[in-house]
Amino acid sequence: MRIDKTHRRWAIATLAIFVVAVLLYVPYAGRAGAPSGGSWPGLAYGMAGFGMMLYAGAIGARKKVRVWRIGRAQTWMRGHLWLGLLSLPLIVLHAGFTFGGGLTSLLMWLFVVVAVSGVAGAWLQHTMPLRLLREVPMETIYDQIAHVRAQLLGEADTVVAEACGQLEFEAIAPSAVDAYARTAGTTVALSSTAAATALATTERVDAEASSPLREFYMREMRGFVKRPTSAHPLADPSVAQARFEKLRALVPPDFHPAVADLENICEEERQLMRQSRLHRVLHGWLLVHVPLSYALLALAVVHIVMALRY
Amino acid sequence: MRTRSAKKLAQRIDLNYFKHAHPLRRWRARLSIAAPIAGLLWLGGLAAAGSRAAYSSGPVSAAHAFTESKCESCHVRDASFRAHVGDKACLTCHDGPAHAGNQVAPPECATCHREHQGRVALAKTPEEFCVRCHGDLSVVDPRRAVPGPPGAIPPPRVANAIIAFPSGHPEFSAIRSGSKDPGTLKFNHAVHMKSELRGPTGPETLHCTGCHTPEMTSASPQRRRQLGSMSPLNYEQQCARCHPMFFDERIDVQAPHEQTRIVHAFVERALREYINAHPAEISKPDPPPRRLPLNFPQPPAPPARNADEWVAGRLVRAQRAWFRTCDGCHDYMGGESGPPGGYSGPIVGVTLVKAWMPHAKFDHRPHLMVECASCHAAAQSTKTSDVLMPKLETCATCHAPGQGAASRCSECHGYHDWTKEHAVEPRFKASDFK
Repeated sequence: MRIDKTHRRWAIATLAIFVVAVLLYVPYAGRAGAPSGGSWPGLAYGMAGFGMMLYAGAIGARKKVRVWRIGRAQTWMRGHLWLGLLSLPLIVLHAGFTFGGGLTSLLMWLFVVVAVSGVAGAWLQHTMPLRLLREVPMETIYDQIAHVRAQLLGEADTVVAEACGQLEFEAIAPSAVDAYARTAGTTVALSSTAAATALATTERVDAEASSPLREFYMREMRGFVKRPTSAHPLADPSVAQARFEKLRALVPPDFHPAVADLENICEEERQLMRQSRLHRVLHGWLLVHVPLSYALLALAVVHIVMALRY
Repeated sequence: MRTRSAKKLAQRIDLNYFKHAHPLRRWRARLSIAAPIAGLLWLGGLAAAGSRAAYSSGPVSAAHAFTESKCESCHVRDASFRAHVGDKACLTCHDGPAHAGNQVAPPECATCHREHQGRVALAKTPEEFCVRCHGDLSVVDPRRAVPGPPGAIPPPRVANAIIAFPSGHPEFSAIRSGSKDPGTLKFNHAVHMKSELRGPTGPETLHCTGCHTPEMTSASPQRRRQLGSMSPLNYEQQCARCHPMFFDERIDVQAPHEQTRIVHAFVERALREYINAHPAEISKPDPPPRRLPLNFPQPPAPPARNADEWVAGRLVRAQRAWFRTCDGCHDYMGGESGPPGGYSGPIVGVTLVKAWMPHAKFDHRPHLMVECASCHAAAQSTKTSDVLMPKLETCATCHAPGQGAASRCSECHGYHDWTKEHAVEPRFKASDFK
């Protein structure tokens, strides 16, 4: 979610509540005895902070049950961002700027990690989508990347088969594509199409003229399309460009459209690689933020029960 | 030539993709279950091991460290779910005598003695707790104050706007205008602090610590309040070395430091026993005086013809010497012009102020690095009535907010009136804290 001017009211309200909370804390801290979570002001800060934590955590339930029409998703997310952020200083005021020991210390550290990861996540969510748009014009749905890759492999096989005749490699299906694509039930159809096309064109292809293209594809490019890694030479755009220029020089001009298609498929592969990497950054912080948030809420409930008891 | 039309791109999409969670989502879900469970397992493990340290808000005070893992020692569960520490739990082991009979709404023990703040001294409460009342004191009618037992220190008249030390704190009553030392022992500090005084073995210069030493140990718990205050003065320890009660150079015995009647009888008897044992001495001249107080200048004794005259003459000499010694410190009953019955008249009993600040305590031990004269202007004091206690501003040189040394009320004052302390019945066994 981009943090733009639509967040202004939330930001102002958050800042206002924060300032009021701090102003109220000053006379409270000046009173006899160190501020503590067990005092009435301390409890008030704690209840307010925990209420905001609960609200921030409720976004998970809101996302799970999308049919619930309880406010707009954007409103929930803005509330999650700002009230979640505000809950940290309120809890710090509740604790009187101490981390305590045992469970309270664990809670505070968990809270710090959750808040820091949340702020980092908000910054990533603010900046990364634009970067994705700029750097990955061939972006696809992230969950479809494996599926699209399988199709790119089939497409590349077809391009080369049409240009060079039947290819000598193991059938694409089912081992050439990933498990996800297998379950989608599309691979068999793809490989069958490629094989049929290859058979139909075998007779009219000059095997000698097309051999550089075939060699390049079979020895170098197919491995990259099948299992793209950043260590592969074709993962580097400048290296890839040089390889394809060299290939063009080796094959007759009739093959140049096929070379261009292959080059374009490589470029799409590289973009999918970049998209995967950026996506992991864009969403990887959630692996820290969400689980620790649940742990924080669960342990906070224990803390509340035990604090009220003792 | 490859083309990327919207239709082609749409055809690439597997419409069932949402049925299969992506690894990132799968891991997020797994960790979201595992993380809270791990936290709860940690707490469960501690509970199974019998430890409740996880719920402690911090280490308990040094005095209560032995109960660190025995929460129930103080956290006594009442009829409800709560196990809050109330006064009852504290009074199980400690007596907490009331602060003042006219105190309004005495606070709970835990209000001032805050536990779980680390290894702190629980008795050293912050001044805020005192200022809560004494910053704007409103007491009930002082006439309704509960009187103490006979001889007890009367309730102090208290200032009613003490914000901190020294802000709002009145000047020490001992040195307020018109205050005098009511002691009956004549003493000139300035004279005693001169250099090259006549000492028993030659000239010497006295120092404060030669006579005044703080009480470093106390065997009695009841006297813990006096620990660090100056030890009581007495003739034998502080005065006798320079002011011995020799009465004749030939007799190596000192007269007892008692009333003049007893001293006179002792000396007369000692002289008579000596001359009876040494009758040849009657006609001999007195030996030259060499020791205190006999070496003070005085005329020689007249020649004696018999033992009675010899004893009477030596007795007069001894009395002259004592005049300088005894009269220097003591008043005779009947005034300074001359006691009835000569120098054998009774002397006024000695009274010394035992505690200059009866409602406060002062421990000299932490202050030993400071020169005595920094606080007590003894070198300029020539009168017995001079009060040599320091002023409030002297203490505030170090003991004030921002000056470094603590300025809590509890540094000098106690909250509980320990004169009303009751013994506590033991309720625990040592094995309870194993």
